[in-house]
Amino acid sequence: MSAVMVSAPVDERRPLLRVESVSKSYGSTIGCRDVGFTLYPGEVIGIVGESGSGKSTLLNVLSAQLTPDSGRVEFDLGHAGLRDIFTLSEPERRRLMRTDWGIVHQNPRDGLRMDVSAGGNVGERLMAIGQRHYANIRAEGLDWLAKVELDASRVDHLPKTFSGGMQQRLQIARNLVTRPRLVFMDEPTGGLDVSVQARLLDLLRGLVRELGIAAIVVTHDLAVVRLLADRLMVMWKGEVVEQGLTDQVLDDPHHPYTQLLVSSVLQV
Amino acid sequence: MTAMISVSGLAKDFVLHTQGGVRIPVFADLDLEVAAGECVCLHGPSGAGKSTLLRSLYANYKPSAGRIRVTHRGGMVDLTTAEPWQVIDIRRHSVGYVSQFLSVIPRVPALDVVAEPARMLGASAEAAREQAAALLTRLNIPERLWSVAPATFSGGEQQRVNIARGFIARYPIMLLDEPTASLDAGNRQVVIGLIHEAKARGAAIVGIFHDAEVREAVADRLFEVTAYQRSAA
Repeated sequence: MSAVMVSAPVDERRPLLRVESVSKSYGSTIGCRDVGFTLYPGEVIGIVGESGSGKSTLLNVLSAQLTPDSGRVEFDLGHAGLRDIFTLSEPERRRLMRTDWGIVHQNPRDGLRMDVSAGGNVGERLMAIGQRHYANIRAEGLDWLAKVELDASRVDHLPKTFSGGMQQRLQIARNLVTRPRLVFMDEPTGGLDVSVQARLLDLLRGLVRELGIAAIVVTHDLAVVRLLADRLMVMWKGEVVEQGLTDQVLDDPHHPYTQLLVSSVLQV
Repeated sequence: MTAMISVSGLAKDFVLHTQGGVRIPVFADLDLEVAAGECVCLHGPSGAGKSTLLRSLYANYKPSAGRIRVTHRGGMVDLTTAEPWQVIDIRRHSVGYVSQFLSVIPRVPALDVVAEPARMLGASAEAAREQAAALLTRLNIPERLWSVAPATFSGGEQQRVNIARGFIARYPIMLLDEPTASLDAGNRQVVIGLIHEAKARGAAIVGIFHDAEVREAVADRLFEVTAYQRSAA
């Protein structure tokens, strides 16, 4: 790890993302209801809850993959300030997704181009933001393969020849190479062996802190949020029932559902 | 004397929803002030609420009522109303906590576990590692273990890594939960020395010390938590 981010003095902080009373339902089924929170630069927020609690719906709305029925999602566009992402033009929104955002899918196949080499998967994101110099793109691609602990000799191989854990690390490299300001992660360790999970988590923790990237991590695994997230939101039946500092929510849960969730974890 | 920690009217109940909503009162109307350079020992039998109070002072537990004001960046901030990012900033700069057990991060070597709080305050990697090495040496952790992740360390070794991590950042406020519980006599003396040095530089310390020798060596006064106990209504 090189430079660790030092937090900005308190009065200089301005929100990166502001979410106000976001609701989304599917017919009569509630996806998520009246969700609001503010995310600051470099902050990592975890969203936990069981299947069907609305956490994936919320993540899809926040990352502009799904339009909410009501509410606002505002992102700091720098000079233009906070702008509602659903009022942006399609080219503006695509540009945002290419440059300022990263999306790490649970299944690496959804986030990778399976018919493009590992190096190409990383380089493609760089080309999308305007880099044209082949040698530089290849060098940066190799640098990122090393950062996510993939052997340089695999740079020209297709992702389908990789294990699940390697694919997930490649997907992370592909997302972080453009140094986004916000990364969305949906169950980043889902479907991986426990030993592989620990390695991936440690890697993610290091990279996110080193680069000062803000992240929204959806998971049902409390160990993942304890390690990665500064703050936690607990979702139940489409609503956020408890939120706060990660260790506070996990060590002193107040809502009945959070207490059940925390007490249901098997001790090893 | 300036108070570094000022607690007023503090109450804490636990409500256990998974057990029929039973309410467990811990303490109420608790007041406590701790000055710079002072070490206060939380006292009382097991279950009196010592750890609950200490964890509340770190914003790990959320009090039911009252205020906890701590010195931070030249002012006083109320931990009970602070935003999460403020609490993170307070923990990074102003309030340190040494728990009994080290929470191990997979694959991170002991030296970096200790160095991390100094890095977060802006120290260079080399400077932070140097300070970490000095503390680990002082706490008798052999150099061959520094590059190893502490998961496989003995209880006493993990506790000493935890102490080194807690003392490296020289926080103005330090909270110590039985820092010497699993240490031998020699290492207890090292920890007593570290606490004396922290007091000498003006740190306010609140701790739980079951060991009488350590308590008598470092504590300026005892704070009886049982005095604020409230029986179940």
